[in-house]
Amino acid sequence: MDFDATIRVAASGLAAQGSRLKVIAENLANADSTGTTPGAEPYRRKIVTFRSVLDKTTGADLVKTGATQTAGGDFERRYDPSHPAADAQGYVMMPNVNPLLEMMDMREAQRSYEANLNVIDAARNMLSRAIDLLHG
Amino acid sequence: MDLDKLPLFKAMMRRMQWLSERQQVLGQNVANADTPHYRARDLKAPSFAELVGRSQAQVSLVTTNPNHLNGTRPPTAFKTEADNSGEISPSGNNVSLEDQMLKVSGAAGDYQLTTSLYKQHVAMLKTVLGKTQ
Repeated sequence: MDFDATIRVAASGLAAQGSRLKVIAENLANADSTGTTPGAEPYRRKIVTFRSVLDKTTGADLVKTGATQTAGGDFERRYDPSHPAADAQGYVMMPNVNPLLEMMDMREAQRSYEANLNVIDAARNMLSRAIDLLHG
Repeated sequence: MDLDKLPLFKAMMRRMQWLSERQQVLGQNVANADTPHYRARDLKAPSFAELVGRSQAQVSLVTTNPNHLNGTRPPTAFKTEADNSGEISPSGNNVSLEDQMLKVSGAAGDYQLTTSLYKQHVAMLKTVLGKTQ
């Protein structure tokens, strides 16, 4: 049944966007997580990856999230000699999380989620139209 | 009453089949809107010439040896084609959500139209048979 496959594909999209949002939340929550020992690395920003996977029973391309990767890039250094993670020069490394970037990513995840919901809605509508044929 | 024997109903059934398969392809595009290197696809609209040529229908392979494997899914009657309308993003993905949403709602509307037509024709047949609806 094609509608079944459609809904399944859209549901996989919902799940993928959901886990993307989870990673964004992790990044935002840890935006100030520094190390605890002198010179220790702080929290590193995580990035979610998507890939499409063929579903053998329906022949549709589902979307799955791949391994979460950590972002490269330099840490911001802040002068705070009294901090437990401060190095010999008194600088503390701050996480490479940019709240603005995370917010933008969050909005995008939200829009994609809505688009998938729209597809489910349309497919269900079509299905109920087909069932309506029974009523004559 | 076997409605499938009537060409009009057969055509409407095909139309509905095409629309539901198209919805699946569009759903795939939307779900993969953030997948790197994914290219949008669409189902090719059936042409009149193709419909006429299809009168002798699909030919499937014959298993002449027990070791031959049949596909698990029946061959689909419609062709998918690349949809190059969207702009390719830096990640190599060219799904445009707006485009896909338009197509999804268009397909849903077409489906509604076809089912309404189907209903109307069944009602007409019922009138001929002299039954109250």
